[in-house]
Amino acid sequence: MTPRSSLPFAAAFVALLTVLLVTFNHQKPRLLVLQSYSESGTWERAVDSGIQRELTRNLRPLRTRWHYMSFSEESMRINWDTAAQHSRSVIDTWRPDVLVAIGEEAQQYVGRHYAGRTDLRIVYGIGEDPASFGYADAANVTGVRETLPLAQIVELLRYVKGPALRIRALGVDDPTGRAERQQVQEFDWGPHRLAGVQLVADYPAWQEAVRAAAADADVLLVLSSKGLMREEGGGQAVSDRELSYWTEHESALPAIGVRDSFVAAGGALAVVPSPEALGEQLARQALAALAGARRGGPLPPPQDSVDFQISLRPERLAARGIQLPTIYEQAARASHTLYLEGAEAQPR
Amino acid sequence: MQAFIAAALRRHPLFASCTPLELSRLLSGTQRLQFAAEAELFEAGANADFYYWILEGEAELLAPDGDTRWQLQAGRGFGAEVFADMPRRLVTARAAGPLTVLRIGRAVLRELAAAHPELKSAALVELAAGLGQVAAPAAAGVEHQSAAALSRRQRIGWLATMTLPLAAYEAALYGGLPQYSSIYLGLFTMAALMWLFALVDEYVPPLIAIVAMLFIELVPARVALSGFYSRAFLLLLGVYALATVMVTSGLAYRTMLWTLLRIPDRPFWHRGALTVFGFVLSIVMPPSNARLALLLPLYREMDSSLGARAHSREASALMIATFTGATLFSPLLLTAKSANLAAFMMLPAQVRTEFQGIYWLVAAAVVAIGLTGAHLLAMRFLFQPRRSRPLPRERIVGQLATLGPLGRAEWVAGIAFLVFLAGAALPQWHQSQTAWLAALMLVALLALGALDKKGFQSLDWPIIFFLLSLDGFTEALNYLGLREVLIGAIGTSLDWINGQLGWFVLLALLVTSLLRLAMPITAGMVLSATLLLPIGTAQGIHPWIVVFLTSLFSDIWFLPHQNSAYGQAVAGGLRQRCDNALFMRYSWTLNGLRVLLAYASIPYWRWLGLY
Repeated sequence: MTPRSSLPFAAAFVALLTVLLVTFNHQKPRLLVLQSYSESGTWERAVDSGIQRELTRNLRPLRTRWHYMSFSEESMRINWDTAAQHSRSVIDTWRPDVLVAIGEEAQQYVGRHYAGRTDLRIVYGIGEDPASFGYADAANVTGVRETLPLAQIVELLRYVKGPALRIRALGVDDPTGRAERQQVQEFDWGPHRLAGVQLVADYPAWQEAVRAAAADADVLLVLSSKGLMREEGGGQAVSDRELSYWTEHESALPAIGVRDSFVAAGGALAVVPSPEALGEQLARQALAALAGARRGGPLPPPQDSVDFQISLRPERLAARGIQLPTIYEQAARASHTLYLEGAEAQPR
Repeated sequence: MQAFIAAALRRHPLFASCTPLELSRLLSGTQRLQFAAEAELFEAGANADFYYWILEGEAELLAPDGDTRWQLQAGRGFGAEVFADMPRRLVTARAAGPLTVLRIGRAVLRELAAAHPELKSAALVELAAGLGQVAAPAAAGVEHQSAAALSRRQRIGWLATMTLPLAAYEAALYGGLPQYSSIYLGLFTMAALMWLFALVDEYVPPLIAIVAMLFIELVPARVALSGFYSRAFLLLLGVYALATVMVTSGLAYRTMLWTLLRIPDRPFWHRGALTVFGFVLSIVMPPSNARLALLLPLYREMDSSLGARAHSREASALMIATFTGATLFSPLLLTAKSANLAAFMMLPAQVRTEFQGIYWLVAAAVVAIGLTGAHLLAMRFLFQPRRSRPLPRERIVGQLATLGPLGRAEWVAGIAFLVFLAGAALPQWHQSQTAWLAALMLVALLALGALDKKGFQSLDWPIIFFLLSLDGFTEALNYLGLREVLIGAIGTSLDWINGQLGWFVLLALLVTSLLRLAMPITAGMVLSATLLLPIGTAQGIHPWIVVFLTSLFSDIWFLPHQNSAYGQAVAGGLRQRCDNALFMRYSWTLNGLRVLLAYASIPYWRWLGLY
């Protein structure tokens, strides 16, 4: 027990320490990471992991908070208006210096409302053109556009079927699907040719599109399929496993995904924008934005994502008679996305 | 005779609930005395140093007024003022006829009363009953003492602690350091000032620092609490549990008594025994304060039995032997010093594996042989008594008889100690790490009931938290890149070392001694190791040598405030019984010897391939 005579000094010290610490915490820059979906999502977890890895390297004192617009991956029907209201309430009460908004929904329902503000900087992580959210003229917005590794897919096609192929892309009719469609359509596919991009609203339409693709294409490009409804007009979403397995086994064409979940759930091959690398890139942008947030320093310029990874299921590739150079298999092994025989959902 | 006294003590209602270990210790401070009729045992107003228990005859107590008197018969006690911390006798006591009593010393009773508060209450009731026959003297009234005023030094310390860390923070920012480094420097300054001015207990400053770092998220929890995540936590718990059980089971005390009976009954052997006890305790008892606490009662018993004149060379030699026995071996074994365990965790994994067993002692052999040899030679030749007095062997036999056969807890403690000793020395037999072996001993002691809930609560948690907090505090230094800042700041200024161990020893001596001027041993050593390890690594010095040198040099002390064990020895009667100037001269000589032996180790370390 502190001697009674030194109690006033000790009390003054404790009070001073408490005041200093609390004041310091109030003055620390704040970073809010807003994800469109839930923290249990595979892609979201990978992005978060990248962000955290980069933040660990940062030694500047910083207050960080994560917010997810959906509570779980199993929330099939997200009430986006309610989720947006809640997210905006978090922003308005917590008052971050920088908002890292990830996914199209996070921009559409939340981020765009803060474009042009002087008290908040936005770092987006999206596949769609940022201009579609009103970010083009906003002085407080920067970010990373997630670009599909289409050039790397073209490189890969030479081992799949032949020198000049017809490609049909299939995705879900939602903001993510539309963003991916935009990239696919704007890409120069030469020497191959894009036969078309089809976005569907439900599982029956997806199945029909897969069957029909064989009529005018040589390769099926499977875009993001998360959230595809089982029935027309609503109901539950189809699971990754069912959708990927069915697509891989029923498609007459070799199917190449752009998300790891396609191969993890039964597909043969995917060339995927690396979510962890995207997270790291976003965190670097956010820290740069944060550095000058309070004194009005310059924002870092927007960037495109640059890193990608390969996901492989050798058993399915063999079934289709596709043989890739071993470097692809080693790349997949290095990124823990090599799915060996019997592994339906667990990467090895 | 001793058996008779032991039996009489067992029958005493006050001591009925004592364990054999406590009775054995009580026996060391108990004498059977006979008084002729009319002999005066003590006088009112005299110092209260003994409690009396009438075996035969009658005692007469007289109030200071000279009129009130009453008799006490066999089976009654008097002189209970000793329990009340009352320095003076309230009454005079005489033998009403031939009187035989047991006389029990105040020191052993105070130790006993600390463990048995009910004993103190019962004695006070006895005292109150006696006082009912007389009017309580005014002098015996309770004095209300005001709390001791805060010293000027402490006032300055608190004011400095509230201002200088902020100044250090601002200065660091001004000097171009990043904010996170400046905050750390502010917290470091705070901790150093609190240590320097002894404002709070030693373990508090690093705890404040890591809580502050966590509160503002300066470093992640895995860094600030790295000590609590690490193997050090279980290693400390295991070692401290073993130490606790060794003491509470009575095994340590029994072993010391047993050894005293078997060594030649000459002064050199008495002192040598205290040194050897210190060495054996060092194996499982990291804090030298704990070892000294265990050795001091034995010292008091030996000192009172040998009856050397106060401040004589013989009396001084016994205290020096006790103090040196408790402190000399600290740098020589991994488990002999709390800071060794903390610094051990900073070593690379390969070095930890190599030095976790007996190899630490092997590598420290030159210092171990040099220090022990010099100390034993000094004990043999420098402190010759005028006449040799024997130990009270009969009493020791009686104490051992009172302890009875080895109890279950002693068996468990003994086996656990031997298993740990063998496992630490020869890790190849269990194919695991010393930390996990210590943890295994901990759970074994818990499962076998040798360490019950109360015993577990009585572990030295402050020192455990202190070490683990220090670990986090130093880990934060690395995490925030301050180690690199330090190396960068040093730049080429240490190029004169040029990988030469001789120069590095000098640097280690300077850094450790300077830090130790302000810091206690544990903090001083850990911070020295933190600062010197990167420098040593850059100079190609083996990391263990760096840690060992900081451990060895952190034991160097000149001023009383630098060594808490010295304060403990003073409280244990150093100044009453020992020539303080002689004691200090001896300590300073050992300081010089430590430096010489560090240099003498260089060829040996080269031979071992460590340099």
